[in-house]
Formats: sequence, structure tokens, C-alpha cells
Amino acid sequence: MNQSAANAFINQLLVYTLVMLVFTGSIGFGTVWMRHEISLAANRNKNLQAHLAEVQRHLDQLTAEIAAAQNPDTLIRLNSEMRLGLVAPRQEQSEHVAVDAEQRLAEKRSGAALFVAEVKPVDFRRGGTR
Amino acid sequence: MSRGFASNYRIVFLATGIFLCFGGVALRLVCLHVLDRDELLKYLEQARRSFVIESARRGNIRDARGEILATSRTLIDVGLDPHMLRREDEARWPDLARLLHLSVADLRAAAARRPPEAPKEAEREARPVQWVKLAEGIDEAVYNQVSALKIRGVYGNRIYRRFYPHNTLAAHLIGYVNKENVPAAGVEHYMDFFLRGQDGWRESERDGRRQELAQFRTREVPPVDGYDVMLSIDTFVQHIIEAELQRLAGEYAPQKATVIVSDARTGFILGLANYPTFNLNEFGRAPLDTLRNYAITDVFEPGSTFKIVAASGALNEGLVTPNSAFDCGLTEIDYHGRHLHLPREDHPFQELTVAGIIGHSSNRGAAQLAMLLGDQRFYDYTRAFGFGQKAGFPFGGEVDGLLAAPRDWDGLTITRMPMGQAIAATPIQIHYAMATIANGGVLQRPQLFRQVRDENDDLVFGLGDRPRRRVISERTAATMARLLLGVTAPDGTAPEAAIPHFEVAGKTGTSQKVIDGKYSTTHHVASFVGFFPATRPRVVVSVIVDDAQMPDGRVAYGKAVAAPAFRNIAMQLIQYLDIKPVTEPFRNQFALQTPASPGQGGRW
Repeated sequence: MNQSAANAFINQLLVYTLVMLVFTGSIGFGTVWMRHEISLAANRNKNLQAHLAEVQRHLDQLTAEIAAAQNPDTLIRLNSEMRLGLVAPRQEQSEHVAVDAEQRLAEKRSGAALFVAEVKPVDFRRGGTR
Repeated sequence: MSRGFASNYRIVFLATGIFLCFGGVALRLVCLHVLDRDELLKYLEQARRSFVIESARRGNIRDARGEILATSRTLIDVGLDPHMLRREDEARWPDLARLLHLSVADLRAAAARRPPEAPKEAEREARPVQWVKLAEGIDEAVYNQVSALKIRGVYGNRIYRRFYPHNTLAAHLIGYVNKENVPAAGVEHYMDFFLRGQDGWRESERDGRRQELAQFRTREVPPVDGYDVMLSIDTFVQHIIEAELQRLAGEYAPQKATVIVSDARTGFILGLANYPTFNLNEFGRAPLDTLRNYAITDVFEPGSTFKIVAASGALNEGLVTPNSAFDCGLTEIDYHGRHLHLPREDHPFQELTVAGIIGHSSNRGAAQLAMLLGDQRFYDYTRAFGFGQKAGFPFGGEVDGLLAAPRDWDGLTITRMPMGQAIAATPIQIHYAMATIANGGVLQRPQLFRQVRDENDDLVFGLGDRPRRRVISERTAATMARLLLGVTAPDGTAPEAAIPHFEVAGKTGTSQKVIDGKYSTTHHVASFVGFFPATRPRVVVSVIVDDAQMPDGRVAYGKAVAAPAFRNIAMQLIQYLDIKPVTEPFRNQFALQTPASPGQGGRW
């Protein structure tokens, strides 16, 4: 191989090497960028999880406070403090109804339109018009 | 062709440079991955590896209506790291002290707990004081204010803590989880398998600031939250009986007292309370004795409430009818060739029918009914009603009670046991014996759990009633219910338990306590066990008061102490559970066939 051919080969080799370096560098940068994006996404997920956990904690706290506020002793104390005068119904104030109260009220309101007690048969007249 | 860039010396220079660079990188890689591999991996494991356990949320305990009885919430233990404190933050210490209910002097004392001299290199590995606790159990709102102060070195650790919003309500049933997060008693302990859930975990890495690098999470198992357990008790029913217990305690200062309310048909417990009780949120301060569920752990002689056994047995065997009469004026009787003394009566009786024996609570009448049955059959009925064996309450150290076999009886046992002496039973045994009559003759197992639900409120499984055995026929049960109505009649032993327009069946009991080996005349256990409406029972209520102190030294009879309490509870249950009086068409037909006996009738 003469000198010029060798130089040409080396020139080509250098060019290919540089192209390879650029190519692999691009892949490297791409990988780094991708991993960076993955880490950003993972951190976003982590923060969302933390936020969800915080919301859950607040829900738990709220649930506990609501349950405590509905404690019969608390309600009685509030009734006394706020002077609401609420008392439990007594036996003599109650009228026990043997029939279904909803049905009875519905019948009272809708009357014959929906709750006809007796169904009368249709009276067809024979042999002529009405 | 031009020689261009590729002159000899340039090529050699460039190639050498590139190969040196690659060679340097390769050498470094060999050092890192081959020579120093073990040491570096060890360091990495220590410094970067992160193994985090994610706690599962413990399920709630709810009542039958879904009201929360026990729940979990996060609280924060706040502390400070003395090494990280800065002088410029000291101006905010008074605010911190106010939020944590401490004095500034307390804060200074905590901050001073740093080592007096700089630690040596070896000691630096494990700093002797790293975090001094300032306050525990701080809620989120307060902790947010603490964080807003931005005092470096002051921070908190979150912990799951169990919270019982109703404090003392149903304390003996719910139980508690101790500060080490170990369920120690009650439903918390018994249903821990469902409540506790399963902790999750994840492996990842962390950076130099100890922050997790989320992108390096390798393995992750999410936590599974615990299930919710729904009980059969109702918060309001529980409140009614606990309020009545408080009234009893205030009025009679008893040693202890128990009230049980159950569904007559299914055996589900609607409420169970004891006095004295304790605050679930402060279980550590409660005297050890108050943590016991007396309804299942303590026994006493049931007294006259036990007379239902002899009467039910004799009726069920067809040996007597409600109108069969007995001479209750007898003081002695021959039994299997032996001459036995009959027990004393509180009031003298002559001839009483079976209905009268129950209505007037005749000791001698009950003894004669048991003698008709005979030792073994009476014992068998006693066992069948659930005495002498655990009722099946799921937790809390239930005891069997005391019931001797006939071979161990002395000559007087057949005359004393029918009136509730020579036998010891727990309140729950007595309650479910009466519930057997209310339930048409079938003995139920105490049932406390209704459902288990997952975190989405979907049903995992539900529990129904659990009958144990048929003890007496439905007809006999209805007859007994009718006879027990006589107890609350105007001439019965407990008209104090009667409720206008309602048929109340029940039985009083007053048993003398055994003190120093002898029956005391001043210390009694008063009880009333009953159900209503008698011909179509909805609820069974037991009130048992141990050693009530009567105002003027009178005997604490069941009719005086327990029957009024039963009535107070029943009146409120009628309103709350919408229990209607039983009208004619809905009465139990078996009960209708038995005439309401006035107490006198044809001789048996």
C-alpha cells in the first residue's frame, strides 16, 4: 500500500471514528436525558404518592373528628351548652300505627287515582251504541 | 491526494491521545469494578440502599349502623436534634413552646442534651444524642404550625395511633391497641387478622442527603389496608345502657353492674356494658380490675332468675301444666326416700299454680318442680339452657360458671339449685337462658360480629345468627313467656318493670352473696332479666347489679334496683327501635292457647 492510500484510509478511519463518537455520544446523551426524564417522572410519582398519603391522613383525621363530634355524650353536652332543649321522645308522645304509614299517607294524598279499593268491571252494552 | 490532516505525527499524536483516554477510562473501570468492588459495594449498600416498610392502615371498627367505634389516625411525635439547632432560631422558641404546651426552659434543657465535648472519630459513628422527644401525639394541624416556624433541627416522626372517638362507650367489647401497636384486648385483639392488613415494602436507593431516588426503586409491594369490622352493637343502644349504668352507680354505688341487650330472635348483641368501665383512649391509666368484662368473667348465684329452668323443664316434659297446683306452704318433703327441708320463702304461700310459682317467685314451688324432673333431668335441662359451660362469647376470657354433676350433689341441692343457689353463672349465661325462651326455645350463641368489609366498603363476608340447640319446644317457650308476664303484673314480684301497652315478660333475682363462707344478709346481687313484647319478642334485656347500697339499709332486691333500670332502658328502646305493642292479630298463637293464670287453679 502506498503512502497516499494509507493516509486516505486513516482519514476515513478518523472520520468514521468521529462519526461513531458523535453517534455513541448522542446515544449517551439520549440515555442520560431519558434517565433524567425517568427520574423526573419517578419523583413526580413519589410526590403524588406523598400528596395522596397526606390527603389520606387528613381524611383519617377528619373521620376521627366527625366520629368524636357524633359521640352521644358530646351531643348531649352541646344540647345543654347551646340550650337547645332537645329531649328524647317519651312513650306517651308516641302513637303506634298498625298499618304501613307510607302507604296510608300515599293513599290519603293520591286517593282514588292510584289506590282504588274496589275494581269495578267495565259494563259493555250489547246491541247498539252508547 | 492531499496529505490533509493525516500527517504522520498528527495521527500518532491523536491516536495516542484517544487510546490514552480510553485506556484511562478502562483502567478506572477495572479499579472500580474489579479491585475495589467489594469495598465499594459495601459502601453502596450502606449509603444508598433503602428498604422502606409502608405501614398498612388498620381497619375501622364500626357499629351496626356504620358509626365508627375505633379508627386509626396519624399523630406526630415531635422532637429536636441538638446538633442541628441554630442560634438565630431561638427567637421562635417561645412560639414552639406554646404550641407544644412546654416551657422555654424545657426546650433549653432538651437542646442542652448534646455531648459536652466534640466526639471522637469512633463515637461520631453513633451519636449519643440524636433526637430528643419534646411531645408525642401531636395532631396534623398543630404539626403544620410547628413546621411553619422553620426551626432547623425540630421535626417529627409520624406514627399510626388508634383513636376511640366514643371514649368509654363499649370499652369492654372494643378493646384497645397498646402503644407498641399490639392489639391487647377485645375486638381489636380477636379480629386483628382482618383489621391489621398487610404492610408493604419497597427497595430503592437514596442520595447523599438521604432523600429517596425514586427512579431507583427496584422492587415494591404495596400495602394492603385492613378490613373494617362491623359489630352488631348499636352506638345509641350502648349509650342508653351506659347512661342507665351511670345512674345506677350514682344512686346505689354498687361494686359492679352489667347490662346486656340482645336481639330476641337472632341472639345478636345490641349492647353490653359494665360498671365500672374505662376510657379506651387512656387505657393505661385504668385500674387493672376495670379492664375485665364482668359479663363473661365473673360468676354469681343467679337467684330466682334461675327458676325458669325448673319451670321450663317440667312444662316441656309434660309433667305439669300452667294450672297445676303445688302446696307451697310445705316446709318439708319426702324425695327418693329422703326427708328434705324446703327452702324459706320471703312471703308465706299456700297453694300456687305453676303460673303463680313463677309470678310470685316461690322457692318451694320451684324446688317441687325440680323434684318432679328428678336430679338427672333437672341437671340436663340446666346444661341445655347453657349453664356450666361457656356461652361462646368470642373473646375476653369467658368462664364456664359452676355447675356440679348430680353425683356430687348433697341432699339439699335439689331443693336449693332450682331457686338459683348452689350454682354460679355469668351474666351472659343468665341472659341467654332467658333469650332461649324469647327465641322460641332455641339457645343462641352470643353473636357480636355482623360483617367484614374491605376499604371500598364492599362486603367480604357477613355473619348470621348461630343457634346452639333447641332446649324446649316452641309451645313450651310461648307458655313460659306467658307465665313470665305474671312477674310484671300488678300482683307479680316486679310490677316496677311493667310498661303501659306492652307485654313485658321477665324474672327478678335477688341472690345473697357468700362472704366468709356464709350467705350474707346485707350484700346481694339484684337482677332482672326480661324481654318484650312477650308474645312476639324483639329484645332481651338483662340488668345485674352487684352489691347495691340501698339508701336506708334495705335489702337490694331485684325489683327495687334492677327492675326500674330495665324499665328505663326498655322505654328508650321502644322509641329508638320503634318497637310496637303487639296487637291481637299478631300475637303468638301458642301463647294465646295458654290462659293467663291468676296463680290459683286446679290441684295437680
